[in-house]
Amino acid sequence: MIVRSGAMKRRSKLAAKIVLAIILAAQFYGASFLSPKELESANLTSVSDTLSNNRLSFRGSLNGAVAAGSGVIEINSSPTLPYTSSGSASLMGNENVKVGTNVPIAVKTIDTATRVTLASGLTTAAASGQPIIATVSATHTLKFTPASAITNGAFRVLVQGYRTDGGYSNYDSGDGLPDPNGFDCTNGTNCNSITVTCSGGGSGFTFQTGTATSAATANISVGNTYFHAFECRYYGGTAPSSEVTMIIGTAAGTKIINPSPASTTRNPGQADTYNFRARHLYGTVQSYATADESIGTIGVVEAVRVTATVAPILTFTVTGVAASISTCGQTTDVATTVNSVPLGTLTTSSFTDAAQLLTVSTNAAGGYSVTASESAALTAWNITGTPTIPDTTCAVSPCTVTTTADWTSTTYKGFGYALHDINATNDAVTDSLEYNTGGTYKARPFGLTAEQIMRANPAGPVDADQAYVCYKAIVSGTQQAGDYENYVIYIATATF
Amino acid sequence: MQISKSISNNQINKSKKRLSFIIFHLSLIGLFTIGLFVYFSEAAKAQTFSLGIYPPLLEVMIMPGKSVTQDYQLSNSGDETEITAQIVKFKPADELGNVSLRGLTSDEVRPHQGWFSFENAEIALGKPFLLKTGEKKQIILKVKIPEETAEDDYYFTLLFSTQPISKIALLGTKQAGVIGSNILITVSKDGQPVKKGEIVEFRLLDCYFEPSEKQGSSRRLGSYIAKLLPFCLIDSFDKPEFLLRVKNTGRAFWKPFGKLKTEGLLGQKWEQDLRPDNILADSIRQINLATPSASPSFLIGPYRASVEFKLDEDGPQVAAQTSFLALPFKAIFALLTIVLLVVTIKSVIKKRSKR
Repeated sequence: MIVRSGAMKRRSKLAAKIVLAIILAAQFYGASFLSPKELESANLTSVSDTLSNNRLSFRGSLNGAVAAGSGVIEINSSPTLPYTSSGSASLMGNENVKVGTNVPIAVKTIDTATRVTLASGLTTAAASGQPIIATVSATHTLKFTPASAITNGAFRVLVQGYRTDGGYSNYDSGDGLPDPNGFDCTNGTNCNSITVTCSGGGSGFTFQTGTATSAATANISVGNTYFHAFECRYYGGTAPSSEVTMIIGTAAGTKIINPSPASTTRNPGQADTYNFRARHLYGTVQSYATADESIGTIGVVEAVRVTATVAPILTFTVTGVAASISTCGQTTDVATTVNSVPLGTLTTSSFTDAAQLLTVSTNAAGGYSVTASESAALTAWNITGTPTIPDTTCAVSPCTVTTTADWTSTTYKGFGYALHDINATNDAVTDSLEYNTGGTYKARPFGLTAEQIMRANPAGPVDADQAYVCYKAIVSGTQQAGDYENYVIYIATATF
Repeated sequence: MQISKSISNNQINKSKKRLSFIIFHLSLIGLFTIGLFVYFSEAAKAQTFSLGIYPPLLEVMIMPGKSVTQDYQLSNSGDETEITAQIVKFKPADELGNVSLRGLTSDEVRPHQGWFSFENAEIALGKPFLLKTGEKKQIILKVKIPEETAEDDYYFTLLFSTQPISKIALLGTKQAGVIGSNILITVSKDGQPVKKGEIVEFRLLDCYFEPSEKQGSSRRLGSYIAKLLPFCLIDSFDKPEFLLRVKNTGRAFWKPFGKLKTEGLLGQKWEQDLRPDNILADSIRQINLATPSASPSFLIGPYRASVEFKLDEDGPQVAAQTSFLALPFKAIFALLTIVLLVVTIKSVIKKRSKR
């Protein structure tokens, strides 16, 4: 038989009390797991949604029937919902417009405030009141920084699909047609054709492929406003902590369609604003709950059509060239001015070289042409008999006013010219007339009739086509002394 | 003796002084002349003729007895210069839209001068007017067609030529810069002149074995093979380029509005817009394409190219087509060369190893 002392009894009781206290405390602690306290909600920071194109879409109706084959459409200036586009101001040239059941046709001209001419006629006739649609789609680039450290969570962005107050109803925000009360999904039920990708946020977790859910399916509403939902889930041992980027809709045909004007009575330049919500979710896949939420605003505005007319123009410049400049493979001996080539005293044993620079610019559709001709051969008008320095024949196989020959021998006397194309990209001088094509100084004489020396190649607008006209002269020992002169005429015209 | 000596010394001194005086003044005059020359030479170097004209092309359809006015902007970015306006007739110089001006020389007749006048008081045909540096002048041209004018097309160029203000008379070659704007006038009583046209030539350029008039045995062989083939042959890696020559057989100019479409048997197809250039009456023009070729980078098999356009947007339609065959000649040739080389090397190695 064991007899316990009083001290021992007291120690046992104390120990039992401590154990009991621990058990009770553990029970309370365990009970807290059964009903966990919700996380304190905070805002995601630096929230923004940038649209690649923030123009409003066009949803108007026809004012009057349009026969098949006709491309002139009249826009109803007082349409009723869901049609809110009431004039041609928000359409742009070459924008595709769908009229009635026809395939989209490009806008050719905007004629009046309500009349537009299409590039081709309608295939199927359209009755008065039928829709005129021009969709504007945009990629949404959202950026936000998480406030809470949540592992294995998700980011969800809500974009307004439609609202049912203010006289609006659900105009099917997933039918690929712009709506006046929200954004529409492109050509896909449930918005599932829209791509959603997320990136950033730090490391230690992986984003899954994003999902898109239409407002009709997501059934997420705040008041009378229903939202499309775009979501990126992530998994990993670490919580995102830095800026996250979510991109909604990238390729053509998989973007969100911008709304049409919210009403017909709106001032030009006045934006329609829509709220979007960025949420940070936690919990299980089946039952995510919102930890943090921030609300941002998207502004969608009527396009401002900027028009400018660039008049066709032709500019022709002749510039003198200094002495000692290398042109046409020669060094110029004398300086020229815009209106004179003072060849100076000509010698019998060496060539005298000079040059002028011609520059042409035009935005005329067919380009330009420059021709050259001379008034006569170099002539001494003040000497009896008016002797002349002959036009060069260049070589034994002579050059003519239309064909060149290599003029390198001083045996062949006279006056002539060569062309030096200095364009980097195009070819203002025909190859056969270029000074170094098949020779070292392919020259020819000026003619009394104008011969083409420069042209746009390919035919079309040009910016500063340039070529040197290189003059060369040498006289024979029997050339009569005197002062010789003539005129060379350069004519620049646009092609017809 | 001494007196006479001193007198002669005085004379010598006086002569010396006179000589040095003359030399000094001559030097001054020389320096002044050189200075002038240098000054004007340097000034001349900076001279530029630079005229701009808007519009470079005017198209008018007008009834006999009526008149029309057109604003021209003539801008001078070069030196101050005297400008003279002239009207000359032109005809097409080639098939590329370039002009051949008539009536430039004094012995050539300039018809229809009476049709043209200027609303500006200071400007008249053949009368010089001053255009300052940087000046932009509005010139209003009035065209009045006499009542008795026959319904037809009339083509002119309005020329503005320089009359250089020379600072120093320099001998040699002198230049006159001229800028021109073309004027196409269709005189029509009802505003609906008959438009007629035809395609003179539509074919693929750079065919293999195409008929050629040029000399050379290879070209003769090519021409011979071309006669045997019913279509043009091109390499699969070549970009097909077409030659389209169109003739205006009527009496009024028009523009072609249409497309060139190419379609292959394997479903490859692409199209290009024709550039609406003016085809003048009784002339042929090579038509350019307004858009670059969107042909695939590799072509294979037979293709049919068709061109179809209207004479102006509302005129009659003209069409033509041509066929060609695309085969990878270059690749096959390269492959055959490699095979031949390998076989030759192998046979050489084999022969050597037998020895």
